[in-house]
Amino acid sequence: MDLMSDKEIAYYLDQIDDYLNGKLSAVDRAAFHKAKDKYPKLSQDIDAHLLSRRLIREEGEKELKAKFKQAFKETETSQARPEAPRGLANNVVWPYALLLFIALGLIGYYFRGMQQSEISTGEIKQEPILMAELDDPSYDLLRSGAVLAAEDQWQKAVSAFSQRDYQSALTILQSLPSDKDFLQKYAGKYHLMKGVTNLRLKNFADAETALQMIESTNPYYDQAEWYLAVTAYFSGDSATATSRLKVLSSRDQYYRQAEAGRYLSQLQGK
Amino acid sequence: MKESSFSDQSIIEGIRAGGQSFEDMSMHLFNIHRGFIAKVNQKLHLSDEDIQDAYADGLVKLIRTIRDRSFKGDSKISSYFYSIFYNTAVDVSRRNASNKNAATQELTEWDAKEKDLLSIMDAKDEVAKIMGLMDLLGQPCQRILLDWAYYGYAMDEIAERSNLSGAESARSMKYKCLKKLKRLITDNLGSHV
Repeated sequence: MDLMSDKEIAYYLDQIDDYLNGKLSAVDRAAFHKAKDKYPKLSQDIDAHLLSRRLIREEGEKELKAKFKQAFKETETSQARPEAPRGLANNVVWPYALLLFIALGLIGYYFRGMQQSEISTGEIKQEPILMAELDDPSYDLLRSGAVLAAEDQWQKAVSAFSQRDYQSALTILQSLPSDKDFLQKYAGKYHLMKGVTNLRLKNFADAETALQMIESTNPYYDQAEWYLAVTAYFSGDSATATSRLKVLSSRDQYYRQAEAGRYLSQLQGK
Repeated sequence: MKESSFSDQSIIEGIRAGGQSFEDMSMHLFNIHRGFIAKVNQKLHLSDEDIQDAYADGLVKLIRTIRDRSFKGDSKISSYFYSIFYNTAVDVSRRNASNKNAATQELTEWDAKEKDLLSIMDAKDEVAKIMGLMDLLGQPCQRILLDWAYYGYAMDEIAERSNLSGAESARSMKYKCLKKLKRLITDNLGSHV
């Protein structure tokens, strides 16, 4: 059996380090497997090296997390106990500091009052709403128990969608329309997922088209109404968004009534 | 430079560059997204400790995905982080609801690059047996290995941070410490490695 020198082993381990450290875009797997077959000890060295790197990375992540938690504590401490003024210079500054403190207190009281009033009236302060805050439709509702030709593709699309890989989900969905049986039976969930996927990818016109395909008698229609409203919101069409959100927020028992009110408040508060 | 002037691209580059810029950008991410805590907690109503724990976990995950390049920059960092944070907080909320007295999610998964290398590894299922071995290394070795492999400091910086004479000395210490860790792993796994 050939023996591999320490220098040769180091060559392979350095490749692993360079890859993990972002200095190498890929390792030559074929070369690794060939060398491992030839030199069994290399397998052990690679395993020990990769396990070491993982342990170090995990330890680093724990340390980083501890730093973040410490930063929370430091903020809380500094807020709870402002440093006491000391010395002559501070005595001169003290009256100004007191005035500043009172002013900040009044501002804080004002904003706290505003926040409480917002909460009590169910409104949210007027920050732009991020698309990341938007919930997707339930993946369970989108799943299908049907045994149709398109079933496998559909499940793949749901899987990609649930992992927020919207581009892959859309690619799979676009290959489905040829299966008329599936579309006839599951038009609602198909157009809903296609609409939301396009919305996530900011293809607003395509999202609108897909969601408009859901008929008012379809069980998914209430969800389509919601995503049509937010499509208008995120596309910047404030007039349409306002009109749709007004309808939804005024409809008792609508499943997104409160959310619609929140988006509407944001639009009207601009 | 004001914190708000960092673009997503400069944050990504800073994180990937390692060393002090990694640490600075990590704290920058911590500071700029704190507004999300109130937003998420309007929906989930977690205790301060739980929401802070979820926030810290979410940030560590975000930084991991930036480093291992599974975050490709297709969306804004803030949007991407909100999703991670929200999902982490939901996990905490569900765990609380089911009265499981478990610790907040441990960060014990292979990252994307490590996963990519699993095909050249035989002992991939042995991780549970080696947890906690870093603690047996001693503080100086831990520091050197963390600075090298996690934070990405250069050898001369590692030397300075660990009071060593220079880059060559740091390199030699890193080699010895890594060898020590590998021996601990091998001893624990026996014939598996």
